[in-house]
Amino acid sequence: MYSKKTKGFLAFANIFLALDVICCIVPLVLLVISSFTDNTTLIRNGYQFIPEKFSLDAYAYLLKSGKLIMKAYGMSFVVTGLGVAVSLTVTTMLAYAISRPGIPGKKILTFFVFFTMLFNGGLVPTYMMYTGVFHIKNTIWALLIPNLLVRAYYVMLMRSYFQTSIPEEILEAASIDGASEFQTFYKVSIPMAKPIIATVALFSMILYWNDWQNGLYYLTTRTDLFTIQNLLNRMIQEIQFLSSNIAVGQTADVASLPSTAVRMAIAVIGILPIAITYPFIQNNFAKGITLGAVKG
Amino acid sequence: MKKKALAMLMAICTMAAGMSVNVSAETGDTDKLVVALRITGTTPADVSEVQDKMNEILRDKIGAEVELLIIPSGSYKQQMTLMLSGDEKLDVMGCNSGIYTTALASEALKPLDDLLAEYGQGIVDAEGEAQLEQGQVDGVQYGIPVMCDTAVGYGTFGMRTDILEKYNIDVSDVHSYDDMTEVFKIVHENEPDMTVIAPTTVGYSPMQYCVEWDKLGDYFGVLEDHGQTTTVTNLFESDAYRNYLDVMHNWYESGYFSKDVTTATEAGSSLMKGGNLFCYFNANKPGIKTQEENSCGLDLTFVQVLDTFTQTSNNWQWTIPENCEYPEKAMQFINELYTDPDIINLLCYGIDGEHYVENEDGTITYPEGVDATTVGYNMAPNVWAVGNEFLAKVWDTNDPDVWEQTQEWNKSGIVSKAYGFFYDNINVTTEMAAVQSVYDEYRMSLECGVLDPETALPEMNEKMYAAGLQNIIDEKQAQLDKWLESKGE
Amino acid sequence: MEKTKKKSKVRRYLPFYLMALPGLVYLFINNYMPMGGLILAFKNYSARKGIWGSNWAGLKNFKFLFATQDAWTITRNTLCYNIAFIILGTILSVTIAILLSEVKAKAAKFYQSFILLPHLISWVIISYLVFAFLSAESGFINNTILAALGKEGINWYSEAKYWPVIIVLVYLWQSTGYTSIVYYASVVGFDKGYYEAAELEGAGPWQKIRYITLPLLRPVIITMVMLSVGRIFYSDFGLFYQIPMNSGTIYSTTNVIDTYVYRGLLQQGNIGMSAAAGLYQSVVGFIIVLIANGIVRKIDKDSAFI
Repeated sequence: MYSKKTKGFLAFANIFLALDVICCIVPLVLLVISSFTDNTTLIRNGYQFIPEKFSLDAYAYLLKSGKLIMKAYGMSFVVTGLGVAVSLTVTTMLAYAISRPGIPGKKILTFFVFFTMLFNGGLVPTYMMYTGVFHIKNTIWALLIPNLLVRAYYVMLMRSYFQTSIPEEILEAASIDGASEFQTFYKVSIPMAKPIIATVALFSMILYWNDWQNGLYYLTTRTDLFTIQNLLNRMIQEIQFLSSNIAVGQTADVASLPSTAVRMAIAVIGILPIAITYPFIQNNFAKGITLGAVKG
Repeated sequence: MKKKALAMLMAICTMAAGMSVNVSAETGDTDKLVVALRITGTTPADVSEVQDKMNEILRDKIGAEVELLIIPSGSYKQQMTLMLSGDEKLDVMGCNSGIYTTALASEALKPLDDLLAEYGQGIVDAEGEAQLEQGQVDGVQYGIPVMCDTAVGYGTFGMRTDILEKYNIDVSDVHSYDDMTEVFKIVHENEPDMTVIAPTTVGYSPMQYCVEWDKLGDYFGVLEDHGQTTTVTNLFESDAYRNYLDVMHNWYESGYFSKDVTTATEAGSSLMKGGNLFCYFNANKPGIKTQEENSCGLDLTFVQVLDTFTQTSNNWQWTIPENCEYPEKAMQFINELYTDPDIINLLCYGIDGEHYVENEDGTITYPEGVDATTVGYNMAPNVWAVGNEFLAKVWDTNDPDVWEQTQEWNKSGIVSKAYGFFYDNINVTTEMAAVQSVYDEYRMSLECGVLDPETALPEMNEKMYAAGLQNIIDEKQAQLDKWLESKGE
Repeated sequence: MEKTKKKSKVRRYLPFYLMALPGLVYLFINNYMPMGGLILAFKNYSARKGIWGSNWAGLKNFKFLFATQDAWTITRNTLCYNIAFIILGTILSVTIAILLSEVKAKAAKFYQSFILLPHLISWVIISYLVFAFLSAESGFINNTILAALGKEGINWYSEAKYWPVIIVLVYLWQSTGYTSIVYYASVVGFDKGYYEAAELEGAGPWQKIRYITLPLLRPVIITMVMLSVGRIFYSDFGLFYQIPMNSGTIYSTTNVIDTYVYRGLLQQGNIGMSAAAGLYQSVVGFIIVLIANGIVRKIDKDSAFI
């Protein structure tokens, strides 16, 4: 069926892609293996794919010191869940509004959104405003609001989807049938925009789950609000942070803290939720990326 | 389905709201002072209990409460910079000369003269006018220097006693870098997997423990020869500095430092606690053994190879930022830190009976069944930064008269001719930023011995001069001359 | 009459304004309000006097920035890295996209799910990964690869010369999966008719790519490149801050405008200079976007975004 040329090409394509896949996962494999490596072996022999001695110490340690990590894990889930829900609602409404033709001031509004992609006030003024005016320092809002809630890029993605993929006639028809604009939006537009909504949801989820900067700037005293990323980032500075927050008497043998392996283990559990969720939305994701980007 | 989703959303919102409500609910009706202090080592677990105990006393005495903001040394400067840049509430701040200088430049500190006169009599009595002068800039009081060891025993090394004993190493005759090299050589040969030496603080090179010059605040323009001259010169061209670099480079090349020394993320004491380190740098003083052993949980032996020396503006100070809500109460609180042993001991060692117990001779120790690694609160490594450390109880590994020893110690050693001088960099801020960024590029790698000083040092000097180092040196010299003149010398 | 018309217009469009409101308010707060703070670039910041009360400093803060090589280094690094990212990233992801479209659909889905994985991981975790490879003491490269070759270990975190390569590799690793899927999805959407016709003419796979796929892909490539050019003066803070582990010796090849601002602010406490660097970034970045947009408008009017 295939010509010889095509067969050769297919083989080349498969080899190339297989190599690419290997490049993508090999570092992750090293990460996972390190987390299962005995800590002394790790220090003596370095990071290896086939370590001399395996060990579950790191995970055992995490289980024992569970409270702090479970809490950070819980915070990550709460922040991501809440953040994505609010972010999606606000972004979709804004994108929809500026996608409809004929609205007075539409051009200005669109530019108002677009301009935020080009120009910003920078870290200091943003920090001063959020702490000075809105007092969100050391509250959970610090993890939810600054810089993450509405991104102009996603608004523009959605807007172009609404503009190109939802025929105006359908919306007009709904209007004539007596549906209010909110009903039309809710009952007609949203169901039709599912792919782009799923995409932006995943983007937003990655954004919230992986964010560590807000915690770095805004959480100074409330380390109990740390997400898993904040914890990891803090542990780069001081591995002891983990041990010092373990309740007295629970586990005290700091000398046996398998620090290097523990870091790797926390990194592994930090990736896990995203890696698990991802296959389920993968299809929508790929579809959404294209729909938005091409017409962006 | 939709209803379910909605219900879940509501539930999450309520949860989040609940969490933030907690925050605001905490503030009672008493004035609350936010007090920032730095901790070397690990953040204690029982801070809030200790804080409650302190507040029981403070409510009656000064009608205010404190909220302790204990921040690890690695991120202290960064957090203070952020807090001072906004109009965030911060009532009392502990700071070193680095933070102090930056804060002064952006006028973030309150002048304290009036407050001190009215509410700080205890401080004046305890500390004395002469020592307080250390916190003045052009005659205006901005900081209250803590009372602790002011003389520093430079070139001090804390080594694991068990390793020394294991290989029969006698350190009583160690008096120079070269002698240290011999010790390290033996340890390295016998324990090839162990890191021999490590810096003390994450992000700082060991150079701050190996000082033979008065750095005059910031290292750019110094007084060589332990400040026994009054001519400001470039540190990075001095023989003493070059000698230090050669020693470090030799140690690095010999494999005594970890190869990852510049990206290390753990403090010397933490590494030691983890069992894979033999020695780290330190500054000698009476009681050093207890201070360090408490933070690393191992028996240590100390030797000092450089001179004991007192330089200027090297103090830890208490300050009241512009963002302070209750300056009077803040000063009253600082006053307590210099006069009230109960407050001081709570802050240093936690609650009597829970975090420590008293021995018959008045010294204190861990309660039964508790040790350095399990105690819920112990700031022994930070006792010196608390205010009046001479009112603190004495840990039982120290001599009971350690504070008398310290007062003697402060009179020993060399004192810089510039002692009491504060250098204000406001006229050369442009050059400062530029030179600082050159220094940042080289500092860690050069001073941890990674780079060869033969090539890297001239390179750094060249870039620093290009960035305006000479202007800084000239400015410093001018200010110093003026200060010396005012002192009538 | 006129009045009722106006009223009905308001009633007609009011719902849309209401829908847009929360988002607009957020953008106003998060993005526009802090812009006022850019005034700090021209001030001697004094906490006592506040932002508005602080004394004017003229261009002193900019003098700071341009007094040393710093301004040049960070500008060069930011631009060169972004250009390398755009060129190499585009070539690599277009290649992968085209190859993905050639293999069987099932295989494509399999490959796709793996190459997208790195994009889901935070920079903090990636920095752990990179350290596992590059650590001088225990890294995989020094300990296993170089040791096996009988070579001396390299102190990666203090040798500036290797970092352009390392940063680019890490970037490609993290982002190529994502961009290649953007291209892939458009390639899949192309009209099959073109290809069938070409096959009848006897065209091989290379010719089909050269004469059909690439020309059809052109507008997508231009859009994607334009989006990157728009951010050419900005860089991914996580990549440049976390991956080099803040090692000073390699600043000369790893310091970009974003990390410079961050360090100036948090390590030197220099608010005025940080604001100046931020303003410089915004203004020059904005100008570059306008220029790029003008060029694209000339080449391909439909792809320009303003």
